[in-house]
Amino acid sequence: MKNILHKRESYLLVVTLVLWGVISIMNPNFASPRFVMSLIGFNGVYFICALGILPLMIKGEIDLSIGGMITATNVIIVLINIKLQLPLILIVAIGLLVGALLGAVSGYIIGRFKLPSVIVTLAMMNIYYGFSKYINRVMVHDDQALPNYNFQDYKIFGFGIDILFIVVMIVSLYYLMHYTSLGRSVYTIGGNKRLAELIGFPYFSTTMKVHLISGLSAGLVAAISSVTFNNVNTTIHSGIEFELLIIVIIGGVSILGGSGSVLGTFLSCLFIIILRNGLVFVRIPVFWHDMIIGVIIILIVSYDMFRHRVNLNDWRP
Amino acid sequence: MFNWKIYRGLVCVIILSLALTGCFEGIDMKDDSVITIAMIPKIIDIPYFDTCADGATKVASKYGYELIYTGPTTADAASQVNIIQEMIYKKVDVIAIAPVDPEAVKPILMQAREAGIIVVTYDADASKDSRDVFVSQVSAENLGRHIMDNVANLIGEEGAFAIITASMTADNQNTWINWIEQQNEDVYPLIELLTVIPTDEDQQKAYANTRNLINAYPELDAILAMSTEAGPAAAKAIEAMGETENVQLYCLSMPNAMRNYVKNGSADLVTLWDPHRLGSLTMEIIHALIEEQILADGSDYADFENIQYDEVDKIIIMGEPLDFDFSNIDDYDF
Repeated sequence: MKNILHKRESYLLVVTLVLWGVISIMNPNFASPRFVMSLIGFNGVYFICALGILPLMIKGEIDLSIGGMITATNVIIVLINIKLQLPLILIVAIGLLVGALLGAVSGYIIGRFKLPSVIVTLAMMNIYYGFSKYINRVMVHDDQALPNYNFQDYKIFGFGIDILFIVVMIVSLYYLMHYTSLGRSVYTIGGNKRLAELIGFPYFSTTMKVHLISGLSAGLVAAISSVTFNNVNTTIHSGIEFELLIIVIIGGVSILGGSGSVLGTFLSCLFIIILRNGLVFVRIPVFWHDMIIGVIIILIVSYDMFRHRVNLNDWRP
Repeated sequence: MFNWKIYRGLVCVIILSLALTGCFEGIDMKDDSVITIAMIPKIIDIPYFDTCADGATKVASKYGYELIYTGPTTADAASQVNIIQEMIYKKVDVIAIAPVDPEAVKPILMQAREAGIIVVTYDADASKDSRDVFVSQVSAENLGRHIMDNVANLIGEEGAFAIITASMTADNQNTWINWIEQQNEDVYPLIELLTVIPTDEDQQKAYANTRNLINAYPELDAILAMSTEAGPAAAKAIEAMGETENVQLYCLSMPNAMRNYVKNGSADLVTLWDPHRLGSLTMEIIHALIEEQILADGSDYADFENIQYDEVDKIIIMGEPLDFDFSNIDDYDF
């Protein structure tokens, strides 16, 4: 029992529920479950991408190119779709395919030449943004290139299709991290790279796969936002890399790798989204928003550190 | 472990490419006969500023000037400063800039002026002593009061509205909001401005915040989306929520981007000036400055007649804003 209470996940759950409760008391409109579902839906990009970069963060890498991958995939989708006017399901398929391809490129470079992922993905980010802006300038002229999909009309069991994507992402990632050899090698390489290599975990193919997952998530988000907004916007999701880093770190991932969980990332995503959007509901002037968010993040992370230190002291013989 | 050959190869490539680009710049610099103008928008590759640049390009080629159109890829003051630095190094003759943050670019613009470069701001202003002249699309007071009048036309003399703006440091947006508040206080005391929310030119944030606003403030009658990127996203959010009847949407955006939303009723009114004309006028003013003409109130510049000029603050004012709604949006294409 004590163990469960001390886990990062349960602690995050409590903080999130308290936050949700406080905001709901101040503005009852926030309390409606229907709104919370739609809140998760229209912030789906954070859930999908945070879960997408989770494996490579656990492996001890960082992906700064995810915003660039989203933009590049978005441009390619629109480019294809100007002529063809594809149905929604094919757009998602193209998004996944292109995203996976882009992710594989970074994965190959990092895995094959054993370069630091920060540098490679930073470089890839610039390449993707440059590419998107060029293509956008040269080939895409019409502001409303896509047919008008009513994304919100696609429903499964009464929930929006975006909720479905998030659920699929969570389930498949949970399976991947807990029941496959990929999950084991990700955790082992993140924990101790040299040891993992001695044991014989495949470094190259693991690197390829984690970047593939990150690319897939970027492709999915690109498909969703291109049908949501019906246009190309090369500034959309800019700076998302750092928001994702914050989410994943609050969710319990060590920046050096080796730790982190799907549930923790999901909860921390929920927490950040409730915090960010809830501040609009409690009618706090917007100047305070970023400050409040910063302070709360520091409080959470430092409280956690403090508790860990106390625990370690207890264990000293 | 490390593959040193690859590292060595990489270093060689980098040095070579640096040397090559350096050479080309050297060749550029020798050609002093052509006047070069650097045009630096807040963000490159968004329709609004690209349309501005189209207008500028036409006029520049008319006078035989060389136009370098370059800018940051996100609304980032620091990278804008770097670009200005690069342009000073390239020894351009004129810098036309729409500053992201007037304070951040002030020192570097002063430095540019000391180097003998003519500095013109367009679309958004920098501080008065760091530029030669500001080419403004409309006067801030006129636009702010005009917007508030339109809000009152949409929702009546009593009600509540909220503003979605570009960013909290965007100088022109803040000035307009001040005038909107002023007109609100002076003429429409029963209309309440509930809140102002920034979106950082990101459609995802504009979309999410429009949905938040409609849920958080049930008394909301209208949303004013004050950026070209926020307009379509806000309209999409209203369309997705099926609130086209209850919440009026009023945008400062481009007619092409808003056309479908105005037609299906999710956006009700759009206001803007012609960015193409703004670009052209900026270039005509630059031409006048290069020719050492003295700017005066009511002067004509090529196609532009009777242009207002504020001699105290050195501001050129292009004219009145245009309103687009269901009836006339098809008459405009930009």
